Order: sequence, then C-alpha cells, then structure tokens
Amino acid sequence: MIRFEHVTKRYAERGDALRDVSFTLEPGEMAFLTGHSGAGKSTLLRLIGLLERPTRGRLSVAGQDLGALGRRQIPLHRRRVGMIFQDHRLLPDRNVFDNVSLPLLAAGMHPRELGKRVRAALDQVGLLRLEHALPTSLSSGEQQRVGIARAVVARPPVILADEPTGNLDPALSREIFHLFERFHQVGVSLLIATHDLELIATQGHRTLRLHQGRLVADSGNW
Amino acid sequence: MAGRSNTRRPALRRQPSSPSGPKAGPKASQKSGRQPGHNPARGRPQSRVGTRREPPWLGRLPGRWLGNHLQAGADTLRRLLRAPLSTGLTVAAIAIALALPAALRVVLTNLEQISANWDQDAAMTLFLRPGVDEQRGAELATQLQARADLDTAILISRQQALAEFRAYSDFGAALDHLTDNPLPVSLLLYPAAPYLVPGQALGQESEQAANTAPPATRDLSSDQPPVHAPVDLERLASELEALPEADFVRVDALWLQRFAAILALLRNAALLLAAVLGLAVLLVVGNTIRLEIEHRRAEVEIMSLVGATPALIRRPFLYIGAWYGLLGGLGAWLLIAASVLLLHAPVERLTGLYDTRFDLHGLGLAESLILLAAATGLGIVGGWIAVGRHVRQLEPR
Repeated sequence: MIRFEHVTKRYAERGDALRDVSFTLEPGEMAFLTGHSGAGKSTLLRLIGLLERPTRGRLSVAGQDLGALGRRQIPLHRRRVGMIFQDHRLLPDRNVFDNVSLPLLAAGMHPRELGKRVRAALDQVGLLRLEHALPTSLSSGEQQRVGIARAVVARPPVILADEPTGNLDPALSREIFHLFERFHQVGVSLLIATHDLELIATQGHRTLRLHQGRLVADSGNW
Repeated sequence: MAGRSNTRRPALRRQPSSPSGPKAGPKASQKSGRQPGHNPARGRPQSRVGTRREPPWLGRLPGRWLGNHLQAGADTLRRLLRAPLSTGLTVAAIAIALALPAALRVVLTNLEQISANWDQDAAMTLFLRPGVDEQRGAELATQLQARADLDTAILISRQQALAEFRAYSDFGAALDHLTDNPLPVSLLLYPAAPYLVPGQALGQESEQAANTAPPATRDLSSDQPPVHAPVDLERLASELEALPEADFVRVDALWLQRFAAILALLRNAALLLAAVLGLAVLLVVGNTIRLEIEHRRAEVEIMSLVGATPALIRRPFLYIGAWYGLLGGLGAWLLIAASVLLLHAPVERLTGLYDTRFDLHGLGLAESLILLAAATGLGIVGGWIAVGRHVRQLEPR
C-alpha cells in the first residue's frame, strides 16, 4: 500500500529529515512509527500525504508513484489518504458536522448527499449526539475523535495519524487506539506515529523506528 | 439511535478499499458480516468518495456546476453580511473610487448634450468687399460650392442682410434714417461633412469617433450638425480671405471646436481617471481578500489537506471579490443617481435663466450595466490576484 524506496528528504534550513528510508506497508496493514521528536516521523507522514515531496528516492501509495503525480492530481491523492493530527486541526468556527463534512465537500459531494456519510462517520467515533457542537466546547479526546471522523468520512484506503494521542491521558489514548484497531479490522492501512511505547507494546503491531532520519528498526512485534 | 457507547458499537460499515493483504483479509471478512457484497479480492470499491459513485462527467454538468456556484455565491454573501461594518467600509471605498470616473462620464454626456443643442447655422460667413455686387456674389457662391471642402454656399443679398439686421437688432428705427444700405453682400458657407471632429458626430466616418464615443452619445449626435476639424476650418478661412472679392471671414464654429477639444481632453482625463481608480479598486479588493485569507488560513490549509482542488479553494474568495465589486458598483450608481437628483432643480433654475431647456441626464441603462460589470470584474480579478499567491504556497515542495 505504501512503499518507500531510498527516500531522502532534505530541508535547506535543518539538513536531512529523512535519510535513505525504505520500507513497505502492505494493504490493510497497521503499523506504528516511533522515534524521538525530530526523528522524522512527521516528515515521513507528510511525504505520504503529498504535503511535501521527497528530495531523493521513490515513494508510491497504492501502486501510484507519487513523483509522477502532477499538481492537478494532488487533490485526488489526498482524498485517498486520511490524515489525523495531534492538534486535531479542526475549524473552530464550524460545528462538528461541518468539520467532518469538509473532505466530502472537497471531493465535490453535494451537500444534500453528505449528511448520511457524515453521521455514519460520527457514529463510528461515538459523537453523533455532538454533531451541532463547536469543537472548542469539546474535550480534547472528543476533538481528536472529530479529527478521526473527518479522516475516515471519505473512506480512504490509507489513514495516517501523527501523534494522535499526544495530548490525551492513557484511558483516552486506549479508546483512540481501539478505534484504529477497528479501522484496521475492516482492511484500512494505517500508519500511526507515536511515542506512546506502552500502548504500542500492548497492541502487538509492526513498529518502525526512526532515529535521526534513518529507519533503525522494523519489527513485526516490538 | 441506541448503542452509542464505544464498546457496543457494531463494526464499521466500511469496505477495504484495496485488495486486502494476507494479514488483514481474514479479519476483514470476519467483521464484515453486515456487508453482504464484501469481497476482499475486489479492487477499489465504487463508493469511496462521493464523486466516485457517479460517472466523472456528471460533475461537469452545467446544472450541477451552476448549483455549486449559486451555493458558493449565497454562502459568501451571507458571510459578508454577517460583518456589515467592515463589508460596508470596503464597499464604500470601492463605490467612491468607481463613482468618480462614472460621474465625470455623466458630466461629459451632459456637456455633449448641451453642445448638440447649440444651433450651428452659419458655420462660416464670408463678407465680400463693399463694391462687389449680388451677381458676382452668386457666381462666387456657385464657384465655391464646387469646392470639395465646402458643402453649401448661400448668398445673402444686401437687402436680406438689412432685413435680418432690422429683425434681430434694436436699431430698426435708426436704420430707417439711412438712405443707403451699408451692409455688404455675404456668403453663408457650410463646410463639407468629412471635416468631423473625432468623437463629436457620425461615428462611421471616423474610427476614432467610434472608439471614444459610447453608443448612446453617438445615437444622440447623429442628427446634429457636425463640428469641424480646427486646422481645416482655419486653413479654409484663410484661403477664402485670399479671394480678391473677400473682405473678411467670420468662423462661427471655431469656439465650438474649442469646446469639442476641451470635451475630448475631459474624455481622455475620464479614461485616465477610470484606469487609476480601477487600479485602486483592485488594490482595495485584493488587500481585503488577502486579510480574509489570512483570517481563514486554517480553513484554506485544511481544505487543501483533505483534497480540495485549487479551484474549490479559490472559489469563495473570488465570490467575495465579485460581491465587493458588484456592491461597490451599485453604491457608485446610487451615489451618481442621488447627485443627479439633487442637481436637477438647480440646473433647471440655471438653464431657465438662460432661456433654454436642458434635461440633466444620469447614467443610461447600457452605461449602468457596464459600470456594474466592470466593478464585478475588477472585484474578481482583485480576488484572483490575492488568492493565487496563497494557493501556490499550498503546493508541496
């Protein structure tokens, strides 16, 4: 599903964020990405979401070489990748329903048709009753679940999460990981960047570890 | 709905969107009992994203397209009206910037109308020397009429001149005491049509006229006598004065030409002013939208993140520009309409004093539509300039 071949990403200001990273994530596979802050986790996810382009190397998602995608195809690619962020990235002036519906609007779905899909996504994360609430009135855990609903509402085959539990207490974190587990069970490929080693240990999924931009460990059960 | 708690919720109604891997396959099929059509080996499901459910050409149907745009237009207007003060200030700035060149246009139209009303009989009068008699005058008239640059030459006999003088002056009684008619024979000359001042009349002959005069004024002036090019009239006058029979030539149309020249100057000034203030409108709209984008930066970034096309990201801002332009245009129109209404009575009083009738004209229908269209267009262009840079910044590096 996701294939890195000798990918390097260099920033002019701070040098190499990723160095010669190669790995493959199979379709329907769930994996964790760990490492210290600044090890390149976010950069790796941003490359997959085509928020940035690799300096060197080849990167493909669902068999599609991202380097071959032109400017006009980027939006289509992003619709196939659901992204979840530590800071949720919700729009504070739109209610939960509107926030979750953004990917469907971006895909050109008519506002009349998207209600069912948005409510299904909210139902999945258990927030159906809060669809009219503003994000700022929600707890951190609830906000993160809104972010997750937004990432899955368009039913992308790939979900990327960047420190999704960074601000959450252990109980809430477990709840979020349960959600990921369920997406995994229906065949979605997930790559989750986290340094919540304790949680990773209980999950028993493949773990990729980055250190100073290099992939230093790749274990099925870490 | 029941079963809202996390633990009791049934499995996701979701299909794997690609052929499931060896690891996920069995699990996926276990959990997807609610999906009778589920097939792990199948490729991408048809209904992953909204647009995928239908053939791609359907999204380009004009009805759907129009619906999306109407929606965007209504949404942005609602958003603008939610902040009436800042919207009002921006619209007022645009309205004033647009009202100035439009007002000058109105002033010009009215001045042209005045000059059109002026009687232009006797474009030139050639007074013959005192000794020259009527017969020689008639010969000369025939001779002059053959000239290419003269249209008509009418002989005014000494008796006619005296009668006219008697009729139009207060010297009637004094003239009765004259034993002899002191007035000379004169010729009334109308120069030929090709001597048109650009923009003043009958557009077809002059390309320049077609370019500078809007249709409304051309129609207005088509039944008015032409005013003639200054150089030609002056040369013609000096040529005529060189004739042995000629005493002197009076060019009545000369001051009209000067007036036309002033109008032409004003017309150019109006164009220049329109260009400068159009630029001002671009800057006002562009800057307002730039601030709006800064304000909605998070939204722009997230829309880009979830796969919105640049066109979709740009759309609300272009509509904001269009609304600002259109509202500003309407404001300018109202300003001018109000000014014309306020000035109507004083102008009537003034023209009453001069014993003439004159209707003050506002913007015509065509001019109003041009004003609104130009205003809207400027708004869209301003929005495009402002948003283009931000959309480019969203591209991955």
